[in-house]
Amino acid sequence: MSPEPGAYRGVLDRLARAAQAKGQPYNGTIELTARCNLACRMCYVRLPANDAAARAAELSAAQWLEVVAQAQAGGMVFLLITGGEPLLRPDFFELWAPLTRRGLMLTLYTNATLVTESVAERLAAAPPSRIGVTLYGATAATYEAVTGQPDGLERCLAGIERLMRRGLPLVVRSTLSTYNVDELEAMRAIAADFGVPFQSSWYLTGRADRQPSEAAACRLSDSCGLDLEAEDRERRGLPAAEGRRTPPPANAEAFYCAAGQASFVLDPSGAMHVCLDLRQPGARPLEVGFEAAWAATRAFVAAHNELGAECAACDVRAWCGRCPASSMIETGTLTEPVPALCELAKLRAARETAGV
Amino acid sequence: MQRVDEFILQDVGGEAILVPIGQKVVDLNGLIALNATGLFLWEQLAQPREVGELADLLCGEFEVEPAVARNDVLAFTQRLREIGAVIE
Amino acid sequence: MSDVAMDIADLCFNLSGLPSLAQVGLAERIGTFVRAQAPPDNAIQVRWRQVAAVPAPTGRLAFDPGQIWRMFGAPDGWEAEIRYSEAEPRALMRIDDDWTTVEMLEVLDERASSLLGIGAGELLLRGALTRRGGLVLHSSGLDDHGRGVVFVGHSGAGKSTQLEIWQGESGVIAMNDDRVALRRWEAGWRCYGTPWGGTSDIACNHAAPLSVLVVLEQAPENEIAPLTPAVAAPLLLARSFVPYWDGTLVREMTAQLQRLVYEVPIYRLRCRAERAVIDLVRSVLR
Repeated sequence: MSPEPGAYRGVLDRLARAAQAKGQPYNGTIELTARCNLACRMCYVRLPANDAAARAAELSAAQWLEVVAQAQAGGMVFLLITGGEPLLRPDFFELWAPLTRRGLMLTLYTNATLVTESVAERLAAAPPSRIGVTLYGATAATYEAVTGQPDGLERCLAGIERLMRRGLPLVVRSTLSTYNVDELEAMRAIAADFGVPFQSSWYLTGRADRQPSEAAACRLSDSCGLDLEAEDRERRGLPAAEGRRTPPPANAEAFYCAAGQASFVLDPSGAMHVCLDLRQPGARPLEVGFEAAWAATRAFVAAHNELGAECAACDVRAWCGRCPASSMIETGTLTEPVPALCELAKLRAARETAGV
Repeated sequence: MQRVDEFILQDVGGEAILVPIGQKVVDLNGLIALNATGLFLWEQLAQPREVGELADLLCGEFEVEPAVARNDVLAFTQRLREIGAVIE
Repeated sequence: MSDVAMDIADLCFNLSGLPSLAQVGLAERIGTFVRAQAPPDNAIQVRWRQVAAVPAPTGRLAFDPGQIWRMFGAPDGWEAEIRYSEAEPRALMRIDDDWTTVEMLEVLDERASSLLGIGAGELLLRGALTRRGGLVLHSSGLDDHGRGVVFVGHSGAGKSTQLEIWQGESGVIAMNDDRVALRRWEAGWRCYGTPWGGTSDIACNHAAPLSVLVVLEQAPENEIAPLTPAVAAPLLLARSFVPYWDGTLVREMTAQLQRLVYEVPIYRLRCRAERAVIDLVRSVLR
């Protein structure tokens, strides 16, 4: 669900393929903290804002700058700073301002509720390529139902407004659930009013640390989710029957995205993982060097890049979004099928083959 | 004309791209992918160059007719001017 | 209950606390590696203890390769938590920084076979050996008239097949079909069979001077060609077991690998599974 114009998207896709062909870790994500001031029911990562143990395990700004310098020498060009809520870090700008001088394609994900005038001012002085603001509802009641924050929507909109006034490049993103799906159009309208692109996603996964999660309970029904996918493709001018992965997986490789092959994630303690959902293998650039940590991550993907027997034999695999990360979250293995995704894939395949 | 310091040359899988920094990030809102001639011209622009000079250099490096080279240089430098990547 | 010492790759591991090798299913796997004499002073001390439940590691996760074990940092070393398909961990190894003293706490399953016979033992060898400048390669190895030949390759590359082809040839001793250890001495590199075999489970206590490393590739033709150190190094690294949890060890190991590629001839062998490869390999043996 991309906000970029087609041509630019095409360039990004080409870069991704080129990097993957060379095993260049061109795309990094830093999860600056798992702590958040909101308490979203369906979140895959969140810890309380005041979690002292989590805070203690987080790398310092200076340590992050060292990791980033190593990562850039190793080939990183795109960097996403996410959380939790990154702006919870009191030393956020000690990291942020130097990052923006490094020639990285830098993206910041935030809920914008902590964007005061002074934060907006400092971001404007050191702007990223993109700021993704997550919107959890179009009414205060819904925003609160999702995030537990009574004045959340008001603060979020004020934050967006402050960023917009300074001409910063925004995207509004929404995570859809049974709590807020009725307000999808209204959220889209909010983004349109600000004149910024809107993205949404609906398939909620459990927590990456495999702790209990409300994700499944507030996930949209399959048919509702598939309606949204179809609508989204229509909006983007894509053929209705493009829910299949492109290109359809002809081989038996389990990892079908760039994760661990051209992209990586660093968790708040500085351990490197395949992606935000798959917290392995966890080698630490600050201790073993970025190059070795990346080698470990690539080796992990290479060693586990075979489909399980059931998935390999499945005839709706091309319509299925399952990957080793989704299996790990739901089954604790890298290969077992995820029943909810099996059902979804069958339904998706049936709709598209019947519909065209 | 000469290139400014607010664009950093990066390599992604062998593809040359220019990444803006500072206020250029907001002005450009994206990145610039350079082809082989673009990369060559960008490198030449580390020092002040005239259009004719760049066209000559391009002819020396690539097998291209002078008139074509001049057009290429004009188009490329025009684009760089638009995004503020060069100063006169 | 008495101590058992075993020698693997010229490293002595002194196991204490075990009821007996046979009682914990280790006799077959490491019986031939048991040392007749008393262990030397520098033997690696492995203190084994049966527990009802494995304690949780105290440090933070340092590396999780996705199967069998996870390594955690500890104040003066490492803790390796080991599990197979079970939900609960089966063993915890507390390892000091030098890999000279190891405490292993293990829950025995219904078959009462210790994990030292499989993943735990292998991890122990790899760690202790790497700490002492050795390497374990994903490889098969044989001794051809006193010349060590090591075939390197991922699963399915034909490591076991090579041994099957060579076995029975006079003057050939198959050492191991999946895990061969290498060590560098003043007199040169040596290759060693380890207790952990692959599909044919060949695991022989035998060593030889390392004459040649052969990177395997299955192909419709038979061809052997030398590899330059620059080409060989990444190929070997990908078939080594890199201690990604410990920066010092990673650096030591890559440095040792660099020496290996400059000091030992390395070839790429493209071959069909047939007897003709023996002459092909012998043509490059010094």
